[in-house]
Amino acid sequence: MPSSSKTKFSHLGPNFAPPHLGVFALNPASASPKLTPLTYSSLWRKLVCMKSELEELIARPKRYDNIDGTGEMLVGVTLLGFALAGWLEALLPENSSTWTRVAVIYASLALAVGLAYWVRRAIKRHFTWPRTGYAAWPRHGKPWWITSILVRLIALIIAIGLALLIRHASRQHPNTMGNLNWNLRPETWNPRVVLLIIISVTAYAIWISRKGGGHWWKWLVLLLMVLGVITLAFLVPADFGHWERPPVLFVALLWLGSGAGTLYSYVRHTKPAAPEIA
Amino acid sequence: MNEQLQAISALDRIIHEPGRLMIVALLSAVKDCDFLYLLHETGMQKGNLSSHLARLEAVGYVEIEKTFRGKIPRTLLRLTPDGRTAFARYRKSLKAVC
Repeated sequence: MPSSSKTKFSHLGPNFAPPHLGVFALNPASASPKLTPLTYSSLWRKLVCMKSELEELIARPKRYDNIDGTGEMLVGVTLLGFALAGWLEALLPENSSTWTRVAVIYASLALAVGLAYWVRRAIKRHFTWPRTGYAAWPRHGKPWWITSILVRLIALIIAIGLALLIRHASRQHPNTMGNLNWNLRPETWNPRVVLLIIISVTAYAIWISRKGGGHWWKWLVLLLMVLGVITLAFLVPADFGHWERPPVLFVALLWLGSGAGTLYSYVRHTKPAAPEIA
Repeated sequence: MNEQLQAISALDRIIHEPGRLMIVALLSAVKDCDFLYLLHETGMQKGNLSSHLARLEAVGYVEIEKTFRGKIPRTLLRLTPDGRTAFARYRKSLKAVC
């Protein structure tokens, strides 16, 4: 081994062999020294054992889907649909049938999902595709109409479930449907609101850790979500009939705000690419 | 060690080149995409990306379709069934090596 090579690679230990002497080298990143083969065509540092890098590359298109914040907006608008369903349902006469309630909730959800899809498509078409390119996701052999029917079926099941829950809550607490007061004693906290807080905060935390795109301010949104829903837990007493309305609306607005922030940052940091030459 | 060397020699050299590996890995996760998407995700120069794509097209791993969106030309790219099979085989070989 030439003396210059010895000095150059001395920090990698005595067992390290520079690439021009063979195809194997010690993997410096490994905790236990292991021989790893080098690629012929790359720099000496580049190792052929790129399993994790490869998996990372394959997972990248999934993250790209939310590069413009449309994923967060989709969740936000869908949650707004739930909130709208709650408020619209409250406008119905008290003696309305369960099926009328189901129809109102289903219509709100369908409107929200349709709007979310349309907004997402419009943002992709006008902002994302001209700036950083178009990518379509594989359907894994499933025709589009199966997905469409599945979405409608899930919305119908949710609508029936919500309508039954609301009817049950209205019967149990007929006189406490609009009375929000500070509710500082933990024994009177609404357990369903506390559960909703935990679910929403966990869901958002998982989302930003996986698809956050490195935006530090999203952790502040998470903090705001925690503080906001804790405040709502103080406000919504255990016997409050429509317990889901305030936290769902709050969480929906935060998801929407987070998506709008991501879109703003995306538009600020990218510019439309020059069109291809035919 | 001999087995490891055999596994390395069995790797598909067309896919194994780092630039092309990046392209094939990205294409394997999508149904199709345009040239701009690959340009953005790989960080390559246009010429470099074009030459890699031409090589992949020549061996039948990638399908290149020239279309228009309105009056704007667009190059759509997708992995062919042969390309998907080759990439799956490459990943399997890589697992045997590491």
